[in-house]
Amino acid sequence: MTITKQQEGNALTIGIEGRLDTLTAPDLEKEITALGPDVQKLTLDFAKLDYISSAGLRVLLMSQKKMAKQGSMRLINVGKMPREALEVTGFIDILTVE
Amino acid sequence: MKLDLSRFHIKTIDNDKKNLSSLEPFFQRSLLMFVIAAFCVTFGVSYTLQTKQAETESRSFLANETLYICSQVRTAANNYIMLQNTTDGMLVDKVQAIAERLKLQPKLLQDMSALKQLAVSENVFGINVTDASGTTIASYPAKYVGTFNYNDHLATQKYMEIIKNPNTIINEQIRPSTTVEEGSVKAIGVARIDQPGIVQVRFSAARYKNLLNKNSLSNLLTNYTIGNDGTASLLDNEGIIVSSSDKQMVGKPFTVLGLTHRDFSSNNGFFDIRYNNKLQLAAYDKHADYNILVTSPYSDIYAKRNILLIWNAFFYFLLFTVVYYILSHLLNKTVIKSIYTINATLNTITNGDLDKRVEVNNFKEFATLSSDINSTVSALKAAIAEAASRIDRELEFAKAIQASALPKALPENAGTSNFKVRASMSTAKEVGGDFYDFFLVGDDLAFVIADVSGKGIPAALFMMTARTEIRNHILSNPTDLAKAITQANDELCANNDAMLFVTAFAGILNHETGEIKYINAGHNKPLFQKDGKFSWLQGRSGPPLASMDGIPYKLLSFKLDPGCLLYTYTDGVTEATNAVKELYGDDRLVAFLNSIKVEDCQAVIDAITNDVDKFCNGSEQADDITMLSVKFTKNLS
Repeated sequence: MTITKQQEGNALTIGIEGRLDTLTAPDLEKEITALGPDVQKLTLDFAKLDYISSAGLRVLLMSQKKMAKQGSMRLINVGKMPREALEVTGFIDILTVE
Repeated sequence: MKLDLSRFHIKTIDNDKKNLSSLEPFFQRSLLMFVIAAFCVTFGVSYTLQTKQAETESRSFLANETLYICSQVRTAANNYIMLQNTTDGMLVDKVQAIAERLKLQPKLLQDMSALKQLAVSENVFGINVTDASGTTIASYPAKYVGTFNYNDHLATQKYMEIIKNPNTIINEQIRPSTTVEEGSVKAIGVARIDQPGIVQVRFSAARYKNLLNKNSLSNLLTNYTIGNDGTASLLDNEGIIVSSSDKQMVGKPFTVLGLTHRDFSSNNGFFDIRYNNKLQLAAYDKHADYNILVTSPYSDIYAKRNILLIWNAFFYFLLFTVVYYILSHLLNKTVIKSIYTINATLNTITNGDLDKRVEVNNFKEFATLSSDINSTVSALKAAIAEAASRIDRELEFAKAIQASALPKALPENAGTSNFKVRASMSTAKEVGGDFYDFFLVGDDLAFVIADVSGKGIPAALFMMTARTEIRNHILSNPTDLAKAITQANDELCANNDAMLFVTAFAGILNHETGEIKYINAGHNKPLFQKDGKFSWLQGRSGPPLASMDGIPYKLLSFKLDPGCLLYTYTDGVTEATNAVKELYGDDRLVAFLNSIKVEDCQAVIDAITNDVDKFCNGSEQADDITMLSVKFTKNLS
């Protein structure tokens, strides 16, 4: 799983490529935990995300709660499988999915 | 014992050790430097000793030569003196013979021509005869007669002694003559025999000198050889070369030999001179009336030494090269190879094979190292095994606790004739995050199936809490499932620092009507049977529990026909993976259910369990697999 980052002022876009499962979710979690208060708009680009499991969903939940305190978070380019997972679990209602 | 230690594999060499040098090239460099130094030292010592030896030998050689020449000179000088004496003796005899003749033939004193004849025959060129007063009475040449008185001239006064003492013999050294034709002359005087008076005879010095010259010192060193290219010279007190092995130097001053004034006036000794365009060692021997100089060029002196040194250098070079290669080879064979072997074995061990042993026993040190490494590995192995087994025991215990917390069956005497419920749970690790629950609410059946995010101990602990909260809140709100779940959710959100969430499907089956009120909190859709076919139960009440607080969960409902089944499960079923990474999937599940004859809950559960097993075909179970099935049996016999 590869993570790319692009920051413009207080907006950060994180691109995730590959799978977000039990093995790879901790890497994303580390990245999000390390973000400082200077990041107020977090965008997660799922264009290259193939698969997300409940471990991945957990990291999204954690990110949403963190960003809710200092700004906002949204998901973009969500593919078919991740979208289904978000819909089935109902996370699609809690997260901002564009 | 084989472990996957590759995750713990630290990089083989830390970055700051990357700059360390390797043992073998370091040793070889050191050894090479040492060997080169040793070679230089031994050769240097050899050179010094040989040079000293050569110089000592040549000095003693030259000293011997000077001694020899010295004795030669003395002998020659003695011979010379002897010869001189002999020659002088002969001349004196001759003069006395003439005196005898004069006595026997007094006529000679008057007859000038007869006197001349005598002179010629005796090979002398002057005869003078005096009377008792010293006046010449007869002479050849005649001019001295009556005019030359020996007493009158300072140079000849000594002859007067003869008159006083007739035994006196006057033997003059060679002196220039008063007459030009005569050149140098040697004069000898004896007493007249017949009466007092002087008989003086003058000899040609040239002839005299010739005789002596043949035996003189000038030829002493002419054919003398000193080594290959040395010289020997004899100098007189003024520094003129009397004799030399280098013939053309005779008669020249000492400076042509490369001697300085200081050298010449010094005492015996050795010094360096430059002669014949070569640097030479000179031995100088000083005596009262002559000096000897013998020289030998340094190129001669060192010739033998140089050959010896070349052989030395060659031999030492060979020796040290052999030593270098032998030592180098030895080090490689004994130490380096052993170290690499041990390294290779250690690599195998850290790659997971804890049973591998290091066996390098060529020397005591390596044998000790090997056995120490093996002991360490064994100790670690035992420690790991013990820790693992302790954890296993505790997890087994935990699993038992978990399993016993889940209901096996409904209590016997409840209004259970209208419905059946069966469930199964199979954890991926010892303890899991799935659970199910079923219990009576009045005469109705409440059932729950849930999946905590994650697996293992954290999920297991959260699972126990979630199950308790949901059950308690349902029991507290038997008629308002939505409220129960909403409250349970808020409780679970409150104590959720680890940010786990749990998908859940909770339902209450009305034992009279078969209506099932349900809450689907983010859980995968169950399958329900209607008119002989299974299809997906749609509808979502909200997000998974414990994900966000303050969510009002929406109550949904549907009707289960008599004799029909509701089948709920967790995603361990649909996400079961086989060897080629295919998922069992939703489509396969619904297709399978629709393909078999479905009799009752347990049969359904068993059938699907078997089918998933068959599908996975031995692949490791990735997630907890939990199923719960409810059948509405009212009006069935």
